[in-house]
Order: sequence, then structure tokens, then C-alpha cells
Amino acid sequence: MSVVSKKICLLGDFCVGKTSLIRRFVDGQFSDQYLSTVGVKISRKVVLLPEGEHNVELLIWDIEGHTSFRNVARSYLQGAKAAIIVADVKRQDTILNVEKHLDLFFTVNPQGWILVAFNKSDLLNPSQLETLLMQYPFEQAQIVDTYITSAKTGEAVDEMFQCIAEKLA
Amino acid sequence: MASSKQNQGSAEAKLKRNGQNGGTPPTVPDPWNQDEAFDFWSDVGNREENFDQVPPSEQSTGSKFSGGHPAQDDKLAGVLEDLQELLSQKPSPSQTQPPPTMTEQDKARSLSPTLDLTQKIHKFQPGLDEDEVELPPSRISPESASPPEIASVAESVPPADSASPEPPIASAHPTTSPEAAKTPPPIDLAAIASFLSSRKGEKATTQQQDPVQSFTPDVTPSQPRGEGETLIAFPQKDEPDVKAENILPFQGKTPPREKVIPFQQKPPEEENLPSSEPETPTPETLVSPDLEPEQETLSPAEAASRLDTLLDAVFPLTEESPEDHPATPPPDPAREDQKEDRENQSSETVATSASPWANPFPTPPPPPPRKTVEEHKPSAPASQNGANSGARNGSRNGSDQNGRQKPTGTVRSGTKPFLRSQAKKKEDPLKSFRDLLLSPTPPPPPVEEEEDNLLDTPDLLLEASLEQLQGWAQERQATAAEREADLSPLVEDLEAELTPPMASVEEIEEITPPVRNREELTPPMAPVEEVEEITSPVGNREELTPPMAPVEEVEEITSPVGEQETVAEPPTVSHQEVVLEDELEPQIQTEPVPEQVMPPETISEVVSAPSEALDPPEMSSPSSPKAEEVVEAIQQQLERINQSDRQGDRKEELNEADFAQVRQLIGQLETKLSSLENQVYEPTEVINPLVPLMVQLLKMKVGVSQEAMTELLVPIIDDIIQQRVTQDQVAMSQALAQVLPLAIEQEIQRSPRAIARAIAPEIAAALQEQNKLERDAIPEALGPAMGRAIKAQIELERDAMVDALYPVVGNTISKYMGELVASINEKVDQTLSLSGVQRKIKARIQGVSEAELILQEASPVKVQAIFLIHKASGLVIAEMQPHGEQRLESNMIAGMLTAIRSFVNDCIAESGQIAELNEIEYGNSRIILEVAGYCYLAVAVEGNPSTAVVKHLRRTLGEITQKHGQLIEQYDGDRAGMPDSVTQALEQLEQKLQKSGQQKSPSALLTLLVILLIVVVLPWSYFQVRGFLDRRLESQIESALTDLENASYSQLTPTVNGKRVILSGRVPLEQVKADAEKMVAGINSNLEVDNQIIVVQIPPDPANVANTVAVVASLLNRSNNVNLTAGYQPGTVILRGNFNNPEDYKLIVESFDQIPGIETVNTAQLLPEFLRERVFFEMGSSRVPFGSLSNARVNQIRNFLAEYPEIGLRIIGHSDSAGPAQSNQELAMERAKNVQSVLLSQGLDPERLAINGTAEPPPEVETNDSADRSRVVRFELMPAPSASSLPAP
Repeated sequence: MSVVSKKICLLGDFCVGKTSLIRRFVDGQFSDQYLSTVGVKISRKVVLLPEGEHNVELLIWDIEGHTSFRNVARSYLQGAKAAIIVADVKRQDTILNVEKHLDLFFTVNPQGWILVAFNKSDLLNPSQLETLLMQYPFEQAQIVDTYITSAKTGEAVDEMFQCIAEKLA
Repeated sequence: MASSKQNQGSAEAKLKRNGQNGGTPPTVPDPWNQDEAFDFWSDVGNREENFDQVPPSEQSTGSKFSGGHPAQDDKLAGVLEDLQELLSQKPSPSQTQPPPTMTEQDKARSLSPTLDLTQKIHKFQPGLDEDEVELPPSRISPESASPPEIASVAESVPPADSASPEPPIASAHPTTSPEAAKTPPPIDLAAIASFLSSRKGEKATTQQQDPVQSFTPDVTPSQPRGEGETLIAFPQKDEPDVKAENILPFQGKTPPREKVIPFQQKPPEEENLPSSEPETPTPETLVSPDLEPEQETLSPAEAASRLDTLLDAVFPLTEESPEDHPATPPPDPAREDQKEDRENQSSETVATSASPWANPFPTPPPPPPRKTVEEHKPSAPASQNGANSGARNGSRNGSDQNGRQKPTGTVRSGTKPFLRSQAKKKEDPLKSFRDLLLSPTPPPPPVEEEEDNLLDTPDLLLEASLEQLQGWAQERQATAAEREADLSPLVEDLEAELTPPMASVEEIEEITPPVRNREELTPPMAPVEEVEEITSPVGNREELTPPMAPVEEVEEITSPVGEQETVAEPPTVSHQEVVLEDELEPQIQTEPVPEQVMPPETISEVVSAPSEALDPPEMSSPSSPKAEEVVEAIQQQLERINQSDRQGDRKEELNEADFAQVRQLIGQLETKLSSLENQVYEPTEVINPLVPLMVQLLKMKVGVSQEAMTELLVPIIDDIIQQRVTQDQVAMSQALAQVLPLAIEQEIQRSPRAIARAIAPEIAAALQEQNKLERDAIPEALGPAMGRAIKAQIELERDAMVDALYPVVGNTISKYMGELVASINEKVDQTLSLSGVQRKIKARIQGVSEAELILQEASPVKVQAIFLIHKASGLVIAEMQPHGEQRLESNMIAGMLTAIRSFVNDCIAESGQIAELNEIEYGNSRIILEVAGYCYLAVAVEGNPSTAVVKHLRRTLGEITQKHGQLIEQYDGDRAGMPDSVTQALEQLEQKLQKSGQQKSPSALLTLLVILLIVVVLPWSYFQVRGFLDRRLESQIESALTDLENASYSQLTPTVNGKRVILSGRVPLEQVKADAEKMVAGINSNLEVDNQIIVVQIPPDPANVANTVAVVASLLNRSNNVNLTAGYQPGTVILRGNFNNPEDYKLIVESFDQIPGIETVNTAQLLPEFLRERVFFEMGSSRVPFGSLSNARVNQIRNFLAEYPEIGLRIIGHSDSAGPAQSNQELAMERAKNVQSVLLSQGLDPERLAINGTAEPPPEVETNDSADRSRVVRFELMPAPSASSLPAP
């Protein structure tokens, strides 16, 4: 079974848990220590697709949350077939900034797919999360879905990446 | 179908027309506008409806003529004939042409007819041709004057009728040959007379048939006769025809038509008879239905009188027609058959045709007669007369042609009419329009045919114009028909009842169609002429007027609008007149008409007619005056007729017979005239009916001769378009807009280069404009192609691209050059640097060749991995990793490299510059990055690959991007989608890299070695040679020195160094040393001799020395004055003694000193006599006894010291042994001191006097001796402390 490589990016404000999500997904680990990502960090994981002719090798570009280097981020986004935009459920500004990241990504990759991840779901109770989801619906043609994730508990992390992999297959 | 549309459109069109055209005739140009044309059509349609009613009038007139009043018909026919003749004169030439081929008639027509048409058209517009010029006045007159003319005609009509019928015939003749026109009249008169007679007889239903038959036979003869002959024959025929015509169709029109028919038939036979034949029959059939309404219109006035005749005519027609129809229905075959029949059975066919013709003619009679006349003419005259015979000729010819055309047209119309009117209308929308336009009058169907032809012809505009013209004519006809219909309600009944009315209708149709037919057929010239006449009412009127005048004033009145109208109207008038005049009149009319026609046609009449026409119009302006004028005109015509013999007779007859009827007719004429006037004054109404005809004409023209039309229109088209553009830019643009894309497309297909040339100059400007409008549009459009374009360009012409890109690539090139220079430097450094020397030493030490060391030093390039990476996404497109190595995470590496590249490009490189990350070094390895297009190559190598490696990289990358650029650009992560050739290219690259690392040549080192060898060996060998030479020289010198060996203590050795010779050795004598030097110089005087030979002396034997001392002492003692003893110790002689002579001291000392082996001579105790004697002291006393030291003694001492400055004097005091030693010592010292003081007092040098005291007795005094001897002071010689202190003497 052949493997097709796909580049995806994780976008989002700093300290929303992008790196943690990737680590949870790739290594199955989680650490409370905060290490700011500088520039970009690339991870790789092959996602097995239950159906289809090939598996997908996800090359996950963990792009630093400090977006002062817009241009850099822009060039990092080139060639990405999809992006996961991460927001911190505890920080409303990060949720509001999702739109900016959406625009940034779509300007670089008009045909790309987007997944929105509300991360750190373990910090809120389900009802709050529900209201959050209701409060910030992201409904565009190219936004596949919105996930409530937790890198700490692993909630919906694998599902999210699986979803994106299937979308790109 | 079409009719309804047309009607609808027509209504609107009418409105538009009214609005636009108003009363101005110039509206005519509007026909070009489709809208307007449609309007016209619509009008026509409306009118058609009216025309349906109206045409009947025409038809009725025709029918009337045909059946009712042959005489009137004849008259009218004469007028018509005149018109025809006038027309025919022009057409005649065309006629000649038409005959060539009936089927081809269209084509044939195209040439001459087209010319005529064009001329006429020109005439219509400006009146270009001379003929036209003549015509114009008449035209002008007809327009305005036509009504008055009509009036006058009306007045003269009765006679005119009688005369008119004749003239047509005559005209026919003249038309055949314009010149003959004058002559023909008589013939015509005769013929007319005969016709009249025949008609009188024919007036009955039978008459129609008879005429037809008569026509047929005439026709037949005409055919055999040939064209020229036919002329005459035709007139004759015409006469019978005229009769028939008079009976059947119109007054004079019918006869000419009949004549025409035969001619037509003949020509058709000759040319394409079939068409004419089928037409003729068909028209009949068609006419029959159409005729009914037409008859209705016609009938009202005339019907009553002519019903019978009409009926008769119709019946035969109908009878014949049905017969014909079956045959005709297939127009072509029928026509052909008919042709054949005509040819073979000319009489029969003619009869059949004649009958139909008779019918159709009635309505169109005017044209047909002309046609007939023309045809007659054309057959012969046409041939005789050149196409461009005199203007009049031309006109006549044209008329003839028209006549022919008409008949043919009629024939066709007859055949087609049904089909056309019904089916064809439906078929072609345009046709339908035209049909509608035409249909109002019957013509539409033929028009359709024409239209078809026109349609076939590309020029739509022309068609449109033609259609418009046709429409106008139809409208006119329609109006006339309407009027007639109004006038003749009875006709309707008749029409309804009788089939003949159908014929009339057919005729009407035919009239319009005839034009078409004419157009279609070669004879079309005639129709064209008619059309022209119609279009240019003036011209037509002129032409018509002359005939009209003879025939009927009504025609003139109507004529202004159009021939058909005029024809239709006149027929009615004529019919009316005929009705009044009855049988006699027709004959008279027929006869006189030709006569009149004949003369008028000759210029005078024509001119007069127009003049009349001119006058009348003014008169006619008021309807009532018009009527009066008409009456007057008729009277005038009558008068004219009267003037002519026949006419006069006939007129008289007519006048006598039915003046009342005439007046009634006149009244009707007046009404019609008034309407016509209205039409005239409302140019739109007049013009409108012409429009369809125009269209028809144009169509015909186009159909006949596209080239001619094009030639005609070409010079104007631009003006037309320009004017239209000025009028309504939007409409024009809209009209053209639809065609433009297609047109451009076509043109591009046809001649792309031309288009390119046309567009090229503005492309830049266009791009700029587009840029202004939408800045991104062009880049977006060109963007996708740019990459490929550049690639293609690179493949095509690499150098050009290099030049173009040089400024941009400058960085890269400079970098490349830098690398090159660096590599060169590196090589130089390596070969000449310390490392190189070290390597050499190392090689010597290890006993290994230097090249081997170099290979060892050149660290082998080991490729770890090669990645082809998608630039944007950082995904690996292809990779190559050597087997057996630890495989790298290609995608991770590629991703990070990509990120690093992006980071460098975006953050580190200066803004505005494109800088690439070329290499990443780590330890002894490095990652070389080469970027191209949408991908870049990353090569991880161990070692330091040479610049050649980088070259390989670039070349490989270039090849890959050129071959698979598109795939790479669209790479989406599926490596399987990439061709294997990419991976293979990477593998090849890897191999090249491996090899390239082992290519270092030791040549530089070898050269260095050589240099080193040379540098070392040369001096060495030099020194070797030189040493050899030196050795040889040394041996020579050595051998020479052997002579001195006996005299030397050791061997004398020479050392040669170049020219310098060093001699070494020991010799006992200086002499030997000098001899050795002399010997070297004796060998080579140039040699520089460094004589280092040492002279060595041997010590003497002590015994010998002692002997010698003894000998010397003895020898010295021999003298008296010397008494000494010599003691000898090795090297030293001690002398004791005394001598007398101080001078001997020197001798003694030297004697001993010269003895070999004696180095020092001690002379302390060798004293002269005066020092020998001691100074004795008293015991214990230190006082020098007086006398012991006499002055003499002192002097001697003094002289002695003075003589030997090197000698000092030591004064030694002694004491006796008595007493303490201490005191003795002191005493001794005291004593010496005193002596010294004495000596000093004598002036001796203190320094040379030393004192010494000892308690010891003097050496030779023994203890036993007297103490006296011990108390002394004695003297000893001592070396003087300094030679300087010599006492002065």
C-alpha cells in the first residue's frame, strides 16, 4: 500500500496547545511544561486509512504561535493541503483570532481544508463547551469540522487527525 | 404565418415609418434598416390586407381589361407598352441577354439586367443614366404631375385607350428596336387594328381564349422568325395578342403581355422557357384564387362591362389553367415541358401561356405589355441592340426585359404562387415578409421566389432594399387595389363567382411576381425596369407616362407611385373608359395606343408625357382638381388619339359610343387619382409600396448578378454605413455587433496574417487599457503560460534567455564564479603550499608515491542522500539513499530544510533580494541545496565535493525540471505519481558525485619534483666537477713539491679551491718554504697561493752548549782584561768574573747569548774592576770610609751605567755575624743606603740604584774569615728597571 505524503499545518495563537496536540498525536505523550516553539517544528506520522488505496503520511508543521513573522508563517504554509487552527477554550481572544488564521491560510492555500480545534477542553465542563461551540460556529465550505480537543486527555485528538487524513486521502 | 407576423410588424412598421419617414421620400433609404424595412413590410402586410382588397381592383382592372374592355385594355396596354418600350429601350439589350438561357435567365439577367436595374436604381436615387436623365424630368413630372397627367390622360384616355393599346404594341416593336419604335407604330397600328378587331370578337369569353390562341400562334411564329424578325412578327402577334390581351387582361397591357408571353415563351424556350411556361400556368392558377379578390376590386366599375370578357377570359384561363397547373405544378418540368411545347408546340403552349398571361397581365398589364413588347424587342432587338443601346433603347430594352421578366415572373408566379403564397411564405421568414409585402398584391409569391434568389444571394441589404421596393410597389398596388376594390364592389362578386378573377388576382400577384420572375429570369431586366420605375416613380412615370398617357391617365396617376399601381389604376380607368367605349374603344385603344406609344416613345412623346405629368401633379394636389386634371389628361390623350388617325377614329368611336361611361370611369379615375395624389403627397405611402419592390429588385439584381450589384453598391456601401452610423451609432453598432465575432472569426480563418497585421499595432495599447481596467486580469491570463513559454524559449534559444535573465541571475553567476576562482586558488595553494611540501617529505619517508598520498588526502565524496523536494510544501518528490546506509527520514529532513530555506529567504535575506541557501555544513558533511523552479535538490554528502559536483547537480536539476516541471509543480504528495526517470536521474547523479570525488591529478606535484631535482642536481654536479678539477690540480702541485721532501720535516700538502691554493707542512728553513711557493707558481702562475708552511727549529744539546760555553769562556779569558767563569744550566749561562774594559761587557754577553741552546745570560756577578772592589766598614759602623768611594770610581760607575742603560746597579750591604742579627740587618741596610746616598750625591740615577742589606756575609766570605770582610758593601749588576733613566753624562 503506497503512502501519500501530505503537509498540514497547525496554526493558532501562542500557547494554545498546538505542539501538545502534535505530541499527543505523534508520540502519545503530554507534558505540562510549556516550551515555546521557535520557527517551525515538523513532525511526521503515517495515518492508516481503513479504506482507500493508500495511507497518508502526515507531515505536520507546527508553526510558532507568535505571528509577528507573518511572512515566515506564510511561506511555512505554502503547499499545505490542510490546516488545523487551534484555539484555547479558556482564552477567548484565541478563539476570536481563529478568523485571522483562517484568512492567512486561505490566502496562501485557497484550496486547502481547515479543521478548527478548541483545545484544552479538560479545563471546561461539557456544558460550557457546548455553549462555546454554539457561540463560535465556523461554517465555511472548506472548514471540515470543529473539534473540541484536549491534548492532555487525548480527547478527539486522534479523531481529528484521522479526519484530516481521510479528507486528504 | 408570415403574413400575420408581417401584419403585426407592419403595423409597428407603419407607425415607425410615419414617424420617421413622414412625408419625406428620402425615407426610402430606410429600407436598408431592417426595422424600417420590416415596418414597410408590416405596412405592406397591412396594406396587403387592404391590397387583398385592393389588388382585386388591380386585378379587376386587369380582369376588366382582359375581359371587359379589350379596347381599354389595349389602350392601357398601349400606355403600358409605351412605358414598357421606354423601359424596354433600356432593357432591350438586357433582353438579348435574357434569352440566352431561361433557366439561366437569372444569371443572364444578372449581367445586363443588373446593369439596367442598377441604372434604374441609380435613376431612382439620382438619375444617373442619360436615359434616366431624360426620365428624371418625366419622373419628376409624374410624381407631381402624374395625377394631372392622369387627369389629362383621363380626358384623353378614351382615345388614348384606343391609341394606347396600340402603342404598347408599337412600343413593343420599338422596344425591340428603339429606332424601330418609330417605324413600328404603323405596324402596331395595323396590328392594333387587327387586335381590336379580334378583341371585339374576343370580347366574349372566347375572345380571351382566342387572343391567347392568337397569341400563341403569333408567338410561335415569332420564335421561328428569330429575334430580329420577331419584332415585326411580334407586333403582328401583338395585335392578335393585344386583342386577346385586351379581351383578357387589360386594355393594352394584356396584348403586350400576350405578345410578351409568346416572346417570353420563345425566349424561355430558347433560354429557359420552362420557367416561363410553368410560371404562366401557375400564375393562372394562382391568379384564379387571387384574382377573385382582385377581380372584386377590379370589377366594381369595370366588372360590369368587362365581367363577361373577364369571365370569358378567366374561364378559358381557368380551364386552361387547371390543365396547365397539373402540368405546371412541377414548375421546372412543366416549364421545361412548356418550353418544349412552346418550341415544338409554340402555338399551343403559347395559347396556354397566353391565357394565363392574359389573366395575370390584366393586373400587371402595364408591365407585361412592356414585357411583351420588350420581349418582342429583345428577342430580335435585344440581339440587334446592344445591351447598352441608346438610353431610350436601354430603357426600352429594360422594359422589354421587364416584360419578359414579368411574363416569366408571372409564369413562375403562376406555378409557384400557390406554393409560394402558401408554403413558401411559411418557409422563409424573409420570404414570408416579402411575400406578405408582395402578397398584398399578388406578387408576394413571386417575390418570394425572387427573395429566394435574393436569399441565395448573399447581399441581404440589397435584398432588403429590393424587398422594400417590392413592398412599396405592392403597397402601391395594394392601395390602388383597395381603391379599385372600393370602387368596384361588384368585382368582388365577380371574383367570387368567377375563376377568372383568380386570374386577375394571379395577375396582380404576377405583377408583383413578374418583377421577381423578371428578376429571376434573364429578362428580369424588364422587371427590374419596372421595379426601377416603381422605385423611381419619376422615371417609371416618365417611361410609364408616355405609355400611360396613351394608355390611360390613370396609369400615370398611379404610376408615380409605382408601375403596378399605375398599371392597376390605369387599367381600372381604362376599364372604365373601356366600359364606356366598349368594344370599339379597346380596338381603337389598342391601335391608337401603339401609335401614340410609338411616337411618344420616340423622344417627343416621352418628353411630353413627363411634362404633362409634371403639370398634372400640381393640378392633382387637390383631389377634385386631380380628377379634373385626370379628365383633362384623358381628354388630352383622347385628343392625341384623335390626332392620330387610328386614334382619332377610335376616339371618335369611343366618344360616340360611351362618353358617359368614360366619364364614370373618369370619376372613378378621379377618385383613384385623388387617392394616388394623397399617396404622392405622402411620399411614405408612395414610397412604402415601392419598398417591397425595391427589395425585390435588389433581390433580383442580386440573384441575377451578384457581381454587378456588388460593383454598384461597393462604392456606396461605405457611405451608407457611415451615414447610418452618424444617424444612429448605437443601432449600427448593435446591428454589426452580432456579426462581428463571426466575421472576425471567419477572417481569422481565412487570412490570419491579415488580421494579425490589423490588430498588431494596437495590441500593446489594448493590453495597457486592459491593465487600467483590471490590473490582475492580464497577469492572471498570462501567468499560467509564462512558465511554459519561458521553458519553450529556453529550449528554442538558450542564449537569449540567458541574456535576458543575466541581471537577475547575476547573483547566482557571481556566486558560481566565486566558487570557480576559489577552487582554482585552492588547487594552487595545495600544490605549492607547505602541505604540498609536507606531502612530498612524507612520501619520501614512507617510500610511497606522492600521488598515492594525494589520493589519500582527497577525502572521498560519499553521498548520503539526495532529495528532490517540492519547494512549497517541503514534500519529497524523489529521493536517493544508498543501500545499506542508515536511511534518513526524508520527509522530515525535507520539511526542515524547506522551513530553513523559507526562514533564510524571509528573515535573513535582504528585502527585495532573492537569496538562496546553498549549503549547510556540519562536520565533514554538508547538505548542498540547488533550487530550480518549483523544487530544489538537497544533497547530503560527506567530504568536500568539488565544483564539478555542483555542476552535475545543476545540470541534473535542470534536466529534471525541464522534463517534469509540470508534474513537479502539481505534486501533491503521491510519489507514485512521479515518473521513475526522476529517481533514475538522482541515482545517476549520485554515481557521478561518487566518481567526481576521485579525480585529482598529481601533475602539479610532478612538476614540482622536477623543479626540485633540477635545483638540487645542477649545483651538486657543478660542485662535483669543480672538485674533480681541484683534485687534479692538487695532485699536480703535490708531485711538484716532492722535490722538497728531503728538506722538510713533514710532507708538504697543497689544497686547491678554485684558484686558491693552500700549502701546508713544516720545514726547517724559510728557504724551503719559499722554494715550495715558487714551485706552485711554476705550475700555474694564476693560482693564488696561501703559503701556510711552518718553519720548525730543534733545541741544542746541553753538553754541546756547555762545551760551547766553556769554549767561549776560555776564548774570552784569553784576553787580559777579562777574567770570568761561565756556569751553564739548560738554557741559562751564569757568568762571574770581572773585566777591565767596560766595553767588553757587551762582547761577553753577546758571545754567550749567541750560543744555540742558551736563552738567558746571567751577568749579575760579572763586574768590571771598579765595581769589584767592595766598600769596607768599621765594626758596627755604617759610615762610608772616606776614600773608598773616590770620585774617579764614582765616575767610572757613572760612565758604565751610562754606557749600558739596560743595566742597573744593586747595592748590597753585609754585616758581620757579631751582634744581633737584627741590628746586623739594619746595619747592612744602613751601609748599603749610605753607599747609595753617596752615589746619589754623585748624581747617579736613583732608579738604577737598588739597595739591599743582609746580615749574611758575602758569598765568598766564610765564617772563618775575618769579620772585617764581612762588614762590606758590594755591588751587583741588575737589569735596569727602565732603560730610560740614563744619567746624563
